[in-house]
Amino acid sequence: MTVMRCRYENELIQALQSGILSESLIAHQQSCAECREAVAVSQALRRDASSLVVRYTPPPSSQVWAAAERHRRMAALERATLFLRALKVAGVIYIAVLAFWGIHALAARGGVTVPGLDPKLLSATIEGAGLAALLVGSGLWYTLRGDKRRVG
Amino acid sequence: MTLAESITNYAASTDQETSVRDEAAFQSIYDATARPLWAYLLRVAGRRDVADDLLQETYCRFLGRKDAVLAMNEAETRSYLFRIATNLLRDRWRRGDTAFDGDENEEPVVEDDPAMGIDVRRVMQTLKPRARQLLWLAYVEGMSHAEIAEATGLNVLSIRLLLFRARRHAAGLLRPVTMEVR
Repeated sequence: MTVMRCRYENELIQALQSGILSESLIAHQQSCAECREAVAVSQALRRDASSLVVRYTPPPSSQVWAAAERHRRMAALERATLFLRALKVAGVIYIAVLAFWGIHALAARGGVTVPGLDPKLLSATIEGAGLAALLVGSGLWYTLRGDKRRVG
Repeated sequence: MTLAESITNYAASTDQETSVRDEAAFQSIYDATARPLWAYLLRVAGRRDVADDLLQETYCRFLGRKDAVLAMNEAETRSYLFRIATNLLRDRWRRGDTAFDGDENEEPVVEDDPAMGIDVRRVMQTLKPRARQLLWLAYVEGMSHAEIAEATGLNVLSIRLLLFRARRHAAGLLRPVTMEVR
């Protein structure tokens, strides 16, 4: 397909839009089939656009503004909770490592020799780790519960 | 108050006076652009509910960069809004939204000029969404090929070819009705 584009086409469309059509453009349009076609399509579409524009009543701008503000606040909340989500992931990793370590320690208590673990301090460290897990878990629950409620 | 709420309130808090001024500036932009933008969305999407939805989304995205966009001039603002709307339309049809197949029952209108109005709508429905976009941007909005390229992300040569085909197709279908109207 050969693509034809008259160099006056854009000028003609702009002139139609502004409503000021010079005599030279009118004369050119009469002699150029491409431009006649472009003008016919443009006029049909613009008539259609005008009829749509007249009929349409957009929602009040205040309503759109409020929706955009809500959208913006949600985006800000999303950014703010990113830190909390990271905290949650860190907490889960901490608990997993702790559980692994606990199993490791219990195995050592049962008589298995584990390098780097002092059996004398085992009870104290398990209690300490349990307390730490409890504090981390309750802290996470408290921080994330308000968030969950908001999202819900 | 949770940590998230504290951070959000801090991030969302704005100076009241600036907000009122911005809202007034937005209102004048909205009044000048909402109708033509909606007409574009309706003719490309083919459905009123989709056009309504995308109109609001366009302005939400627009106001997402509030500080930058409220400083633009009229032509830049209009061009930027059409670019956002074009991207949103593209996202929709890439998701396989069936709305783009066109459903005339979704657009309850009473035409002033029934032959012409319905005909343009039907002509648009026979075209692919991309072609509808190009025709509208070129022949209603009067955008140059370079401006259309910026809005659609296509290159100028592709636009030239696609627009030529779309125009030829539309002209072929519109011609009999146009002649009758005259």
